[in-house]
Amino acid sequence: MKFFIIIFFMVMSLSLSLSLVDALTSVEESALFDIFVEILEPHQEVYVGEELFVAIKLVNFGEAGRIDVFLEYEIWDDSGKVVLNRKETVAVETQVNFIRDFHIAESTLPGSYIFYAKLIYADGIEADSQHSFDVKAVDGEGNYWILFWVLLGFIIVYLGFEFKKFWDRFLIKIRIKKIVKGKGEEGVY
Amino acid sequence: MKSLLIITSVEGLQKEINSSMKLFGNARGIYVSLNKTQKSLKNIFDKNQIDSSKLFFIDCVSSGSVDGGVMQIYPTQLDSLSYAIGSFIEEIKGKKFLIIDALSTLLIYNDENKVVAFVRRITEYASDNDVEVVAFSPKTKGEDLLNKIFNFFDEVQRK
Repeated sequence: MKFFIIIFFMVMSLSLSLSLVDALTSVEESALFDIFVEILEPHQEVYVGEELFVAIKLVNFGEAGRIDVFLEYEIWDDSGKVVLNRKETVAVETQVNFIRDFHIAESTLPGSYIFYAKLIYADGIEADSQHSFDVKAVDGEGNYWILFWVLLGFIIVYLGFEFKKFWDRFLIKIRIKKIVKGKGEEGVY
Repeated sequence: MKSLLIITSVEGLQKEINSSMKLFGNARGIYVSLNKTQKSLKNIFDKNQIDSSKLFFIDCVSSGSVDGGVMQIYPTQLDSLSYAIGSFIEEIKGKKFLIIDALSTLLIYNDENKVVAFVRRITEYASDNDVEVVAFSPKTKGEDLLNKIFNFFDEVQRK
């Protein structure tokens, strides 16, 4: 009798476990996620060494239920090379909005970059989103060229004025020599 | 060589210029005209039997064409003006004098401090090159300027 009772409970436990697993699986399978990333206007240009702030929105268009989703973030340069990679897990019921910051390393070259985010749930179903942004050189480094051209401009303008002055004086000198010589030739002296 | 500043009334200005010109006699000179055109001055000198044939004019008044023997410089171009005076001093050999009429006229076209610097430059250069300078200025104009340039001249006469 005891044996049958034990067998009965084992069967019941197994059945309960299976139904729980089924229930969970069905929740994940009925979920339908999407991800949206946005870099807000003032942060679309970020300086080397500063933080890039990204607004991330995860939405479940399927049946509601708290589900852990896996997120993978990447930053690509204009050649597609990954310059930054980060992963995390976030629990989502219907919708989650949050902001993440990513440090732009000092070694990052100025240029155009893409922030890419991938959401993975329910045994590998994926959704992704991306947004471009620019990395600028810190003042005093990349702006040396601007400073150089501005200085060059000033030097050219200065030399222009100096040349004008020199030329005016040259003409005055020539004219005066001519005047003095002319009076001399007329027998003034 | 000395430098002289003569401050006189507007009415007496030409008379004083004529007197100074007569004193220089046949010497060669540079005349910086800030008050009248070279043509007008030549007529006045001719009427007063003053020989202007040995004068080298820098005409700062005429805006059109001038005689071939006249240097024309706008009164706004103080650098060019001082350079022209310096060039005449260099080019004219022997004893010479410099006359500048109506210094205060420069104030119409230039900042006072620039005029002061100009006068200083000219008097120093003339002194270094043994050139006698006589500058005129009407009484009624530019008293502040006159107070600033007194020291650059060896002698100041108020008439």
